[in-house]
Amino acid sequence: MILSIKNLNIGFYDNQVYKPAIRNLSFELAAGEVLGVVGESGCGKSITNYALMGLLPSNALVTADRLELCGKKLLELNKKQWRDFRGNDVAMIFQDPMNALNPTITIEKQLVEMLSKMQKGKSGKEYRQMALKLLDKVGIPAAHLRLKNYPYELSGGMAQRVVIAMALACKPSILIADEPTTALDVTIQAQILNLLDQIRIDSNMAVIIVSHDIGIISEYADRIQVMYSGEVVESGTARQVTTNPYHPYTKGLLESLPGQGDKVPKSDLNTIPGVVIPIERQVEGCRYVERCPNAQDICHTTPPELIQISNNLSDLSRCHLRG
Amino acid sequence: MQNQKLMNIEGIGKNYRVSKSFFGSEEIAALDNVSLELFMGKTLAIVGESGSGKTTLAKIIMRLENSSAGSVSLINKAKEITNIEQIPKAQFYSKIQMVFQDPFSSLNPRKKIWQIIVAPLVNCKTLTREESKDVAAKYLEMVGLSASFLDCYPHTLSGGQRQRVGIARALVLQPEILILDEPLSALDVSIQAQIINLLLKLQRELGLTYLFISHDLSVVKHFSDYVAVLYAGQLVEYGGAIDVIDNPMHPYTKALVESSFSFKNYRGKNVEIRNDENMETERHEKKWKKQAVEGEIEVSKLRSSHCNFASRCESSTDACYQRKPDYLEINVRENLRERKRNIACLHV
Repeated sequence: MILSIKNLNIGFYDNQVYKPAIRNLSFELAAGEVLGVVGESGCGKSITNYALMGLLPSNALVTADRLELCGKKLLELNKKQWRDFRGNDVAMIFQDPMNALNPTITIEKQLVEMLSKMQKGKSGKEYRQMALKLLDKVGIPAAHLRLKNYPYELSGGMAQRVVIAMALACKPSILIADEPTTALDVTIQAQILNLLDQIRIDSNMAVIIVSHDIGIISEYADRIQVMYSGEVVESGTARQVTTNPYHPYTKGLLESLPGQGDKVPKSDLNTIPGVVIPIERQVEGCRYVERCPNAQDICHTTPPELIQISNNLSDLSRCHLRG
Repeated sequence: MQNQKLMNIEGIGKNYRVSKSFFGSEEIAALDNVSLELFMGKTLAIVGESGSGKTTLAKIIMRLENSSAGSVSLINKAKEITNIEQIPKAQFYSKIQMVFQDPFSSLNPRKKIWQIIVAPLVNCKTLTREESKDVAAKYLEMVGLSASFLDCYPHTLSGGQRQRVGIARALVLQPEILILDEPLSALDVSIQAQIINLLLKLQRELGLTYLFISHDLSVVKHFSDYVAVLYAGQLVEYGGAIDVIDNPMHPYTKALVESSFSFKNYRGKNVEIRNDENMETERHEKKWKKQAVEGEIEVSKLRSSHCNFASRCESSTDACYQRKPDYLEINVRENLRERKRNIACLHV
């Protein structure tokens, strides 16, 4: 296993008050596997990834029984070790490629700067050659011309390819893609995901992809993790989660999408009533209980555990009523 | 009343001059000869990539931009046709209003919710503070928010609540037509469904006509009556929403439909389950490939003499580079019914 997390808890100190954000998160990821994380905004999808990258602010408190990535214990790394670790073992691409690139320097300079930090002791010419190769690899046409461009001269799709090129420069064993295609058009979305998967196969890299778009996650990921208010409420293979969801939240999400077979056009869609419970609020029972259509007494009093729901070890659900 | 025409968009063109270099500039066509109609109580969806001219069209209809060619006219109940340029602005904007994409930047952060909602009224009526609050409360209720939000500021509201405020503001002048410029794209899935339901309810109750700009085909199919597909400023396909999305005929529309993601095509769907061990290995080896059209949208030069989509089109031939396809009306026979479809492709 390339990534192994057991009972990860993340919280933030806000004026001396501890506010939990991620509760008891456990999962594992193998090389070459794609894990998709879905959930609404504010449910803690991104916080886990920032923890894996060591990018949490200083008021964050991270505790875990086990937090190992590529054989390294993340909780024991110091600042310098983190710097070597980031980029070499784990890399991340962000939602908005335009914000991820420095607008005032050329693509070539940005790539060379990054390469010279990562792989020391080469000449400028060699670095430029490497930068060109990287751009070729991510499918940018006429890469030698693009090197001299500033980010604003690129389209969103091209800029995202440059960001991917940067992330992949050091052949990380795990890539975290946080909403990598949300800012892009549908046709470009498909191109970018094709590119990511090509690279994943070539280098047997593991991918964590975060999105609020269930369509993208279920088509692209091997395994899906549904987050709700800081907890995993369901996880399983793409087949399991999309065709046979157990948790009422997963069901609610899938049913609220337009284009279900039996829906008359312009008829009302199913909705999940209410809003996500604030991530820091402590509750006695299930965190979804206020929005759940079939909540029982036990749901108000006892927090449900994440339990196995089929004979496949990775199919889990956090609900009292099924499984 | 059935299918009464409300707005006629005829041959709209919009050219922009972009500077190429020190020595000169070049004119590009952001919109080229776009003709559409809005019918009372119906929804027309406009889909296309960024750069296809969707928002430019909305701006021209809202008189925020002048068109370079063509005209937009409103048709009243007595079937009188008036060019929108000739309608006094106060009267015009009480007929047509807009809901914007980003509910975070489209509400003034320094005004209270009730002030935001009644702001359009200031140009038309004089109201006391109490009257304004009453009006605002009425429209808040209409969009499903309680009157307790009246004295809040926008930053205390969630994205979905803000979008509801944006809709209330658009409704306050009792318009006939609403332009919805990607009103859902900044919202979460479960909130999206709530806003779709709200817009559908308002359409049923108030008989509103929508011009719905979107890039999400599954929403368009559910929400709209007609759909127009724009590519690089040109209409490439137009027809009934369900007809077009279920049976796209233009290669670009086909590409759009194919590259949409749906949870029904989950990964591993085509892998047979034999036993769990096998699935494990197959899952990692299986190559995944989404149908994706190559390349990116290019701006259309003024008076271009070829099909704008030709360079990305799989079925393009030499003819596509030699002349521009005409935008033609054809009859499509589908389920034993004839349906009208407009399409601009040499090969259909």
